[in-house]
Amino acid sequence: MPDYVIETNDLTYFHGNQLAVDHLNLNIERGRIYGFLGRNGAGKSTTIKLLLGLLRPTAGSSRVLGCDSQSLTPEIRGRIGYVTEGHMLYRWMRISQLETFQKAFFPKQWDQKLFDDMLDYFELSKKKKIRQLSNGQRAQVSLALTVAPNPELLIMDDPTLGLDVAIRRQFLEGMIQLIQAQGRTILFSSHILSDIERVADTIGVMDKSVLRADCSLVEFRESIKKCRFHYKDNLPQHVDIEGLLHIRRNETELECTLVKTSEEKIVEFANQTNALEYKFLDLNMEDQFIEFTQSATKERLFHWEVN
Amino acid sequence: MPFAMLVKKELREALPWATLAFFVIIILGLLQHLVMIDSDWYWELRYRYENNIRDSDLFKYNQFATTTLIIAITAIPLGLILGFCQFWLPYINGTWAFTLHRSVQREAILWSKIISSLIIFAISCLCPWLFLYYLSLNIPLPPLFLIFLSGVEFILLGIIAYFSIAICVTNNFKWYTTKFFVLLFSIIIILTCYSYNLQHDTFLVIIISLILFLTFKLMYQFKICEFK
Repeated sequence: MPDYVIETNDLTYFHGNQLAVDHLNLNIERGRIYGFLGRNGAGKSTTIKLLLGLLRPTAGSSRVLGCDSQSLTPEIRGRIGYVTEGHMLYRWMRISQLETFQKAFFPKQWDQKLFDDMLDYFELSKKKKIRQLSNGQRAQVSLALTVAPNPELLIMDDPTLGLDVAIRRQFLEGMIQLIQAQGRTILFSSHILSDIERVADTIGVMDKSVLRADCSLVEFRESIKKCRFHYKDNLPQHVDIEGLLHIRRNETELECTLVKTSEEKIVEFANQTNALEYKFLDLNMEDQFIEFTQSATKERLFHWEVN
Repeated sequence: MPFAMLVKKELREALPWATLAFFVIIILGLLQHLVMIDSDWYWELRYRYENNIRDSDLFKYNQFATTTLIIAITAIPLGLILGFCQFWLPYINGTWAFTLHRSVQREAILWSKIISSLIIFAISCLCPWLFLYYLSLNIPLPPLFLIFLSGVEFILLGIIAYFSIAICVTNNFKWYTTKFFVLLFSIIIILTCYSYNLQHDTFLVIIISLILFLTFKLMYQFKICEFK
């Protein structure tokens, strides 16, 4: 029986008349680093707020660390670290004051050394006021404050949003160090693909309020392919190939984006349609994500079991 | 300790407004007091009513009664400001999530806000009012206790304003529908009380009942509220 830290069951949420999360069924195992991908407005932040009980679902339910999200006890909350979107902290406080404030809620769990080490790593002085910090520095303080109580589950809502490349890298390296040091479960939402690729082992792709993929990162990378078929002049009118996401064509070429399509099927299609040749195009993760989300229909297209 | 920390944080955030309210009451109250001491009109009034002074006249002519207006113009806006700052600003600057996601019950966060506001009302409004009342006992025409009581009523109206705004802000209704219904409801009740010229004790009972009602309403509202 898998040990799920996060479970949702047909979780649905409407913002007024607008569907924000559509029958989400998400299960995250303990110890995973789950990259939650999606464009702006895809429903990532709403899902996180639903998981933490900040929003009430229109339908369905969710459980975090075995407790219903709508009735999380203080004890369970204490085991969940949450880095909020935009790193909104009390602007009038100094870092030292925020430290005292945060520490009061986690007196037994608070790892002072870890907090101090992180501030040293990020070269931040405790005397500084939050309002004096840049976005990046605020993100670093936010991460340190969240991680210092040693949470079992760390939920980060777009933590690298608005950070420049250097700060983002520093932030992610800080995060990787933490992950390596202690086997936590991390749910990390972002729309920056390279960030997810750096840290996540499992990903979920949200698009237009639907979870369209839920698999390991490696499987996602291996399964989305783009294949270009070359023809003399007789391009097939109807393209019927398993796992087809979408096609582009010109006079002599047909470009197909495919998901989980075996090479045999591709060869079979090439033979059937009398293609002169075919070749696979290189796709980086960003290309794959764009191809995938551009063409997806409202159904959940695939689901792979994590190895 | 976590609760004390929350109260401390709320007190610190409200400190500028609390200080402003305190000094407005003290400064305007003392100026009024100086006017009362220097006024010949007082001595004249005292002479005129020497043996025939009635409570209603004292209430009518006593300039200390106008000091209650200072309490009214301070306590009610203070209540509105505290309500906005504690419940509306976190939506604007996005700190609700950071405040709420911690190892305490949501109710504890609400009560830290309410208690800190009550402390602020006590220190910024009630204490200066007591001080001014005490000071005015030495003037030629000392104020009645009823005048003191009317000042206290204004402070309670400030608390009603605070609760009403807090409820309006935390409900998830549209602003053009029933969002401000509670504020409207409180205003109507208070205006009705004034229009009937109720006795102080009746008025106090109504105000305190209204405060209790609003407290329960806010507790319920805060529990089911969504923090987008």
